[in-house]
Amino acid sequence: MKRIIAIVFLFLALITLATYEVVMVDKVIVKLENQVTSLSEMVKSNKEDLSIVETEISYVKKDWDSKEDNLCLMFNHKDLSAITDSLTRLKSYIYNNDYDNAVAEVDLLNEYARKNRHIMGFNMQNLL
Amino acid sequence: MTYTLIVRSIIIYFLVFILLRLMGKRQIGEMQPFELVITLIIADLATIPMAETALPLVHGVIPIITLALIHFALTFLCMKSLYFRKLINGKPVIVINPNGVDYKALKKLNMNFNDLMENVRSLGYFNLEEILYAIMQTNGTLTILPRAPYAPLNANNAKIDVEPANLPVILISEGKFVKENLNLAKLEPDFINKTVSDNNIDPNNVIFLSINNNGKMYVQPKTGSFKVIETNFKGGSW
Repeated sequence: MKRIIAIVFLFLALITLATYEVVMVDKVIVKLENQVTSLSEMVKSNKEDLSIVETEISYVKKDWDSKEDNLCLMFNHKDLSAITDSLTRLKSYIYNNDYDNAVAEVDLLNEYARKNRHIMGFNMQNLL
Repeated sequence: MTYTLIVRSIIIYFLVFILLRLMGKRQIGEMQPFELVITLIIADLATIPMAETALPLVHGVIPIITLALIHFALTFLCMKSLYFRKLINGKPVIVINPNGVDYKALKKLNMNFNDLMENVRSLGYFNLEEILYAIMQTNGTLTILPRAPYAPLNANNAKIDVEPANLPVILISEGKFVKENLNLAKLEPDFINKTVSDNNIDPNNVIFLSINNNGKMYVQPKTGSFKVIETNFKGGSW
């Protein structure tokens, strides 16, 4: 009986973890992707004065920092660190009104978000 | 970082330990092929998240739990279905029959005569004519039924009367009374101490003591040689 309880518990734990991960990835990474897309549009349309984007990048960075701890339970820490580093650089470029680097960085950030959703997703490429 | 590694190692150790305990008590040599595969993979998987702190611990825990669940499922199916058991474990193969060695069966098992002789010798038989049947079990062990003249002598085939076998219970282990067994034998520590003292052994010096159904007591002191004591204890029916 003890063994059956243990097996059921393990099975439920596994399902819970897998579901939590799917929900988490969808929620956080999709949100980040949307935020980055919006940032990208804002940066590209404000070539002369990036100070308009300062509030937005600060919000995105703060939002990401608050979620990073929870994501550490599921994501490879190196992948998370790459996003954090990229956001920090982007923030710095925007505050310094460095348009060219900001555009490059926001595109890189977009790529990171897209890549992470793909890596964490349940798809044929990951299965094989 | 060091504390992280220590805690991760402890978590993984206990996880693998608990899962292996749940999987059963078979030794490596007694495992079925699927059990061996799962055990080897689990051992390898456990080391990855233990040392690589950039990886979340769940990346190691999830595959380990998944493999354990596969193991439970396969074991359950093997218990319930004879067909499935044959499919997963294979079936025992007779490699020696009354006509001698079945070379075809040997080849099927990817064995040669040297392997067979090695196995046969390890079981105490040095001539193939001594063997009536040899069966290669699904877990890779060879079992042998010798021809009658070479079968080990026992009380039954020697037609001699022997006393019924007795199962001794351990009453003192590592110098401490085993309460569970004292209750089973319905004996008091005072009785044991007195019996031991009457036979010139200091009860505090006893490291191991067992008693069988007929009241024969085996006493091993910490120093000095063991002693077998006949006691008036009768009626052990465990």
